[in-house]
Amino acid sequence: MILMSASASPRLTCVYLHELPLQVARRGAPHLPALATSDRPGESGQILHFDDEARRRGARLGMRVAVARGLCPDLTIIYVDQTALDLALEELSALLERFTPRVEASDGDPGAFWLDPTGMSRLFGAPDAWAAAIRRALVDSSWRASIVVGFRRFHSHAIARGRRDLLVLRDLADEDEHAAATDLAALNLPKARLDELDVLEVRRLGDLLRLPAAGLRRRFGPEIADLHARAAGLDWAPLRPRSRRAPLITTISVDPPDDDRDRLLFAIKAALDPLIARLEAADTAARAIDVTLHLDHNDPVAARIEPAAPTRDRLVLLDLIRLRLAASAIQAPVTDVDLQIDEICPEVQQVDLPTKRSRRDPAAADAAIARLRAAYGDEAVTRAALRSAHLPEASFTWEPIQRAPTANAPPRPLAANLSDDAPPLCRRLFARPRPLQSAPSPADPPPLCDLDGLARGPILRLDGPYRVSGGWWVRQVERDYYYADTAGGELLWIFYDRPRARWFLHGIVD
Amino acid sequence: MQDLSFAPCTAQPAHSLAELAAPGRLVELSGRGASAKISAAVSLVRSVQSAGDTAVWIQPRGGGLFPPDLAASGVDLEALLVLHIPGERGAHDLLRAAELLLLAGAHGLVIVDLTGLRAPRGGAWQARLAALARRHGSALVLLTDSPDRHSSLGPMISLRVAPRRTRSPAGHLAITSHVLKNKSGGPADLRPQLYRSPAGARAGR
Repeated sequence: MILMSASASPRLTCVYLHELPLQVARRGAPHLPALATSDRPGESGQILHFDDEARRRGARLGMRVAVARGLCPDLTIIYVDQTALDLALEELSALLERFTPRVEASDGDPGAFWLDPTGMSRLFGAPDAWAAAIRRALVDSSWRASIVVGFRRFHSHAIARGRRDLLVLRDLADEDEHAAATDLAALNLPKARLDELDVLEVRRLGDLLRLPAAGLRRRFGPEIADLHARAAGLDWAPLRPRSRRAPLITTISVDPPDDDRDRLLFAIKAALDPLIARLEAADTAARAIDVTLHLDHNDPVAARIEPAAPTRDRLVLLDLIRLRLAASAIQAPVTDVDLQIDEICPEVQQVDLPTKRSRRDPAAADAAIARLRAAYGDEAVTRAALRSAHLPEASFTWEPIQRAPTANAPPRPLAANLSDDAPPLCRRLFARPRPLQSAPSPADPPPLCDLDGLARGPILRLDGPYRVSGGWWVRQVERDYYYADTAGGELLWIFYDRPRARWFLHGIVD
Repeated sequence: MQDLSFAPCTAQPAHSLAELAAPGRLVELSGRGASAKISAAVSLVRSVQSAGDTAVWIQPRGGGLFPPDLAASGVDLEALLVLHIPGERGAHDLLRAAELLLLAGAHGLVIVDLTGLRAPRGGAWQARLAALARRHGSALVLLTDSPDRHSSLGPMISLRVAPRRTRSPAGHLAITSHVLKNKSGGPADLRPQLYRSPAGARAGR
């Protein structure tokens, strides 16, 4: 076991999957005896990678596919396209992110990943145990990789390319030693350059480093000069943790433009399936879907749809999209539909003890909330929060919520007597106070006739005033609130607005 | 306001509104004028929350629920889901939201404020909602402004109550609930519930 001291240089680990296209092909055809990959489909392609059995049967690097087939009729040659390669890289990124959040996938060398093991010791132990866990996870998923727990980007990468096992380096000197022993042929250099260097008996990285830097570019070209510079540690770059995974976006072209919601939903369903397949490959789930409808000669309509919990269930996602489509005002035929999935690693839910379970299913409540948000918009699903304010309409707010509220402790008991513990009568508040027929002064209450279509009748009794003022920094507000008994039996909550010298109906006791 | 001659300590009918509006029932609270539908519905919310269950209040966008009064009534606002339903189809949209909620069966009480709205014709929607309420043990309460002399919303309404604001000769406030329809039988009147004046009004209103 190798322990990392506090004073040691920060660790950096390279995970390298040799001949990634061949591994992708092998995972798809595990029982074929001899396998090779080509650089393009068809007989004109060239052999890029091949396994030991294919080599034994005569396959060679750069050989034409047609020639290889002639030499070895039962050789299987597969062209691994970029989509399959991207899917594999997404899967690998997701797998490696289980061991550290800081993973950088190489842009120039597909199959190379750098990982930062900082902070992982509490979860996995020492670096060698951490690396062994990564290796086991890769093997379990039918991947073969070399892992070098080193200190520097280039050195760990070079060592990993030259090996096929797990190596944990003790210190920088150990890393220098192993890097110097790396065969140049493992570093993907042009064969012509390798031959030129071989003439000088420069066959390992250490041999190259002993050459003077001056003149390398002129004598051997930019590849060798750059390699020398990187090996000398002149191109340090910080780790850039970022997912290799491409964003889950797709665009559906609707031709001819259409505004029929059912047909649009079917088109979305067809486009959603490949996105969900990518979620499954990456072992992630959809936290939200952004749906944008591009309309013909009209502004686009965009909506963000969030399920109750991250999910890969296409029926749940389609149901939410259906509800939102049904509620959306589509003013013109849709020409294109953009779908973008916001993905996340699903959380592992803690299992409740049976005694803690409520008779209501909180997951079902959350699912219902998600459907309501999809159907009526995020602002439609709320709970109330009180605010400290003088004006009634400012004394509360509606807070949109994403999860169903849970039952808390029972409210305090109210005494059934005539003390202040009896509950108050509740008011129905109008969102905007309704102006009443003008009256000359607050002492002269307005006659109320046929307001809102109800024969309220005249006011029989007025109780007040209850003075409210506030919001003076915006505009002067001074209200005298009254409760008014009407001949129709209603108890109205009205106020006299002093600055505007008008009566308003603000609510009804109901 | 109707005057009520009652004394708090005398013998009273045994049932309260919360007892009659049991889980699985489709309840209509109706009335206009001196009605106290919201206050009565809030007492149901509080009762359901006291039993450890959750409640939902569905109203049109810009509806009149006034949370400070609910908080003063002892309602746990954090545990009360309030839906503000937009839409041009009025009551239809509110009832559809109620159906979505009842399908999940995750709430013990669903209140739909249909005041000022015209409920859809036909009994199909009521049958669906009533079946869902029965299946999940939820009470569905519809608030309407139908006068007492009108019939209930439909045949599936199991209980129709007209809660009215009343006042004793001593000036004490109460809500007396008259049972206009009860398909499971039972009392015609419920135990009056004592109330106090809303904030800003003098006691005894």
